[in-house]
Amino acid sequence: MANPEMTMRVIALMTAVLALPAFAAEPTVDELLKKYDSIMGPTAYEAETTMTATREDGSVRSYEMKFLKKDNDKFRLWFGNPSSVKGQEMLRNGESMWIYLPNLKRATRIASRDNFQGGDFNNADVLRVNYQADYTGTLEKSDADATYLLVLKAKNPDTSYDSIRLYLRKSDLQPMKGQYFGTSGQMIRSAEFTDHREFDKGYVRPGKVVMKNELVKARKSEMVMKSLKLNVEVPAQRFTQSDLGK
Amino acid sequence: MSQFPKLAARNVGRNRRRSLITGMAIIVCVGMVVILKGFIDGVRNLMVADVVEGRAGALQVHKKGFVDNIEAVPTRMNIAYTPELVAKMKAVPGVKGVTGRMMFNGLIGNGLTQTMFVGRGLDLEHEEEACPRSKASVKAGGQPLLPGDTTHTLVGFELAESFSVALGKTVNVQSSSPTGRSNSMDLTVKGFSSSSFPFENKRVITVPLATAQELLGLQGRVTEYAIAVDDLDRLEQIRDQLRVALGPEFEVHTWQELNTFVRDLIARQDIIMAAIAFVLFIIALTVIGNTMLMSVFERVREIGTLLAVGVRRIQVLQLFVLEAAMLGLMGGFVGAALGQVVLNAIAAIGIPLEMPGTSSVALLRPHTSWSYTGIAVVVAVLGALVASALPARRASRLNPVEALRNG
Repeated sequence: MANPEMTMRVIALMTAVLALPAFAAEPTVDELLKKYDSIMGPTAYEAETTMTATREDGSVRSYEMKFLKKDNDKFRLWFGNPSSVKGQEMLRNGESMWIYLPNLKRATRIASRDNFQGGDFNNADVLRVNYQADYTGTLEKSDADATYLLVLKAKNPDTSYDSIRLYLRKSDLQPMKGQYFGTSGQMIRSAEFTDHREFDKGYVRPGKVVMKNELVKARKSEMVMKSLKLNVEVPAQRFTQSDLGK
Repeated sequence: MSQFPKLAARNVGRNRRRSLITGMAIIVCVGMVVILKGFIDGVRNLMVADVVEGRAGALQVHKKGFVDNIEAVPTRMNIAYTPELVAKMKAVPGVKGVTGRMMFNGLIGNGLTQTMFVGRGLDLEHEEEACPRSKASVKAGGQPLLPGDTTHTLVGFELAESFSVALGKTVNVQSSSPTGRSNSMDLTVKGFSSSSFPFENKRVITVPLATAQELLGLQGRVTEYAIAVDDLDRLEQIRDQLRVALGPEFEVHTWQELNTFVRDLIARQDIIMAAIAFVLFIIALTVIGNTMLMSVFERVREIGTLLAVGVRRIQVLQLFVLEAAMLGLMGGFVGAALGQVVLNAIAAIGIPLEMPGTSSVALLRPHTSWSYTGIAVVVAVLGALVASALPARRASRLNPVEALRNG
């Protein structure tokens, strides 16, 4: 007991043990963040989704696409229908993102803040889901029933949002609602996560995400997950610029 | 030889009708050139003043590589806005005023819809040092922005119309930092800006620098410095001195280099002006040549007499050339004087000119330099000399015997 560090640890442990009955399953912020990332952005997967963008003039457009993800910073995306975007591809490798346009037969760099196919997701929302790396969180008292409220604050100036409020269902920590804020504190986007179901063995995630544009209320985009397979084997070459268009 | 000028003057005076026709041709041509040049220069002055005093400043300083940078994110090339840098620029002789600006882009919305804008964040305490007429661009009813108006904005009037945004209403502007951080804020519309450049009316909003810096997360930074100079004729020289003073981290450009559209417009006007002046010059030349030729035919007997009494052929030639030069000089002077009088009269009143693509009205004051008028007179004299060369040569070649018999 001479070692002060030891003492601290023992006290911490005792506090934790004593507190246990009162907050039986209260997860830590890190656990919540980790869980969120594993639900919304598992390490390696292949998925088919449909995005439907509703614009303020009432027009609706749907895009079908296929996702491929490996590690935390490698994404590949192919657009299927409609024919206007058929053959378009997107790639993220590390900090760089590209879009490949079949008409031009070449890849163009894009920024993470650009709109994803003119919808209300931005490229980072789709291609960069790694909250553990980008944000620090605090747990706050939730104003919604049976949820944890996780308030995230950006760690660095490279993230697309300054802060995020995430509502996670207490029963299984699935995301229910998200609110995304700019530096000024104004809410820019809000998301609703619904249709939670099992996509792969033991893997449950929201089947539908509705992203609302809070600055133009009539705008929203839905991302519907049709299928998702975990841990697919993908050659590393798929995530190189030279593979675009092939 | 000494009495030849006198003789030439008498000849001009004696053939009054002929001299009048030639003189009128020269007067009209020189007068037209001077007046036309006055109008074109007047329009050019308007454009230059609009660009230099109203929007851009005479010179601009950017981070090295800014102008060649084709990336669509101008805010990435931001530079520090410090009193030290301003002092360094002001220390260059000829620099009259310096201000910092943030040029950026984003989305402007009214809650129902959003559209793209180009934003100007202006340091309103110093903007007028570099652009003395920047305030004149607010449409009636609105108020110019003041340094403290950090929650206010000016919106291009056509942009505002397309949005049906009224004065005093709130708009939402959204943009992001160079690294991609989204941000948005609500701003109250304090006025509608109006410019002679349609693009600016349709796309540009103006906010105080502090507001732009906050929106973009770029506190203490600007994308450009705008500079006013005391003498636009020394622009290139001052630019070069600024380049030396600021070092390789920065680049300095003149308003012509940055507003190539305006520069090309002016260059095109100058070409048109030169073409018109050339056509008028040819007309004057033909009229003078023709009249002199007529005069040679009419005065065959007189030339024969001159040659018969021992005047040398070269002297006859000189006589005719001298007459033409006198006509050219007189016509040129009278034409130039008339042109200047007309110009000054119009300039005193000014012509209200609706700028293309907008409803803003500017007062056109035609104006031209005395040096240009002087050149017009000299060209008229030279033209008269050239035009008279052939008829004069013809006169000097006459055979005195035949001339006396036939005349």
